[in-house]
Amino acid sequence: MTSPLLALAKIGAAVLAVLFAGLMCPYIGWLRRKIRAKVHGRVGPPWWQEYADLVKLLYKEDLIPATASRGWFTLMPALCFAVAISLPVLIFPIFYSLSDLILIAYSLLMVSVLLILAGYASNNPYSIVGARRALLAVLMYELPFVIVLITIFILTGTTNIFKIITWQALHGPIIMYLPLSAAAYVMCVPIKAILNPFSIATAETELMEGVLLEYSGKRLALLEFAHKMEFYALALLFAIVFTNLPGFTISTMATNSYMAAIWVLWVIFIAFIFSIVVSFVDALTARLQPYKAPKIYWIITTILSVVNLIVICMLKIAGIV
Amino acid sequence: MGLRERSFRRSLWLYHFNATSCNACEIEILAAICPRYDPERLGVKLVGSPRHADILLVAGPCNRYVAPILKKIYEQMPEPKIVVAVGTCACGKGVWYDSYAIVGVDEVIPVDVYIPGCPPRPYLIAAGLAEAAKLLEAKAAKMAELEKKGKR
Repeated sequence: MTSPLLALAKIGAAVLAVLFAGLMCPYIGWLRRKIRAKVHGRVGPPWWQEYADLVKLLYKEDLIPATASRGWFTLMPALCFAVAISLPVLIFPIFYSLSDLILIAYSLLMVSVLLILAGYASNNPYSIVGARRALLAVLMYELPFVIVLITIFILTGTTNIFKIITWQALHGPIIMYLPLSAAAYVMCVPIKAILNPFSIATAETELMEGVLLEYSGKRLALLEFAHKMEFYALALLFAIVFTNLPGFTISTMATNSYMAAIWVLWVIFIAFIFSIVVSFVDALTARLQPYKAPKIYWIITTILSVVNLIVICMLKIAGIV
Repeated sequence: MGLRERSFRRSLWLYHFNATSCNACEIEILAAICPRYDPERLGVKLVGSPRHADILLVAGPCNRYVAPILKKIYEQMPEPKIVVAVGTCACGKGVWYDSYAIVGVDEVIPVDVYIPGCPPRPYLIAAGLAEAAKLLEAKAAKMAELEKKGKR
């Protein structure tokens, strides 16, 4: 298992996963805009719109506001981008010791926290209000999100993505066992990726993009990219953790490359469907008032996740699952 | 033209500034951005911050109180940038041409595209944006040339 050729193949797979995610993120951003345009009855932007936006931002002038704390202002976007591009490597089952739910949850949180710190670093009143709202959002979604992950751990007995995939291959997709947890997960996504019913952190009309307000050029491109990557990573994690194909264990995929290809296509297909559904909700709904979101998260989402946790614990004790 | 200049042409982020306008031009700008004309298919997007913007849309004659704010907003935008004056007031002060309180937009910041009309029709604004896209592309090309010279 530890031959240099295998290690090389793994590194190649990791690079491929990052490159593919890098190409996918602007595409998913475009999908969101196109779905919104279709809901409005418009034509919408062409498919390469978000790539053009990113290229343009890379070549814009680099401005650092006089009021911002210079070091943090330059450091945060780079760090945020660095954490974000590591997400697909963690989520795809490539390196055994890296693909772990705890590490993934931590990295997903890290992207949000670095975005918040970037907002504080720009030292603009609007950014600081946006950063505070984003912090409140972290407090809102993190509890049900972690409870969902704990439920998965109790059900499968492991936090490793490899073992979770194998467990699903033997027992069927986890969404059959944890429908309420899956619903709680889906509810956590809009606020984690700052999408519409809960886009209170970067409210365009009241806070002028909130944490992103003072960023321009390359740094804005990095932050936008990290933000889209977070959404893509959440969609991928849903596809792998909740809806894995039965029969596709890691060991069969390691020997049969056709099965591995089918599995990758299936995961990307589910991630696509997931992002289309979330984008559709984003286009249909208006932004909630900031004080209404905590009630929804702390009551509905937390209850959904806790109920499923209790049910799974009881089934485990009874020895049914 | 390379990828760099083309992306500038097809990705216009607007920041809209109200320089003591009477709101008629604002309403026409909104009409130009709404589904009927749909400039998003040409890459136009309204942004909330001048730091993100490529194009500054100014409406109104700009009085003495607003003039320093307009200048600040213009300076906050990263290069390359284009200023589009929307409406007769922004183009040449309109009916306030001899008022003591009015400065005029093009005396505060350099204006690249003028869209006359009181208020201008939405398709005129769309035509002005197309003109601005060409100018932005030319500016980006110039910047690229200057950068190349600087490196040599």
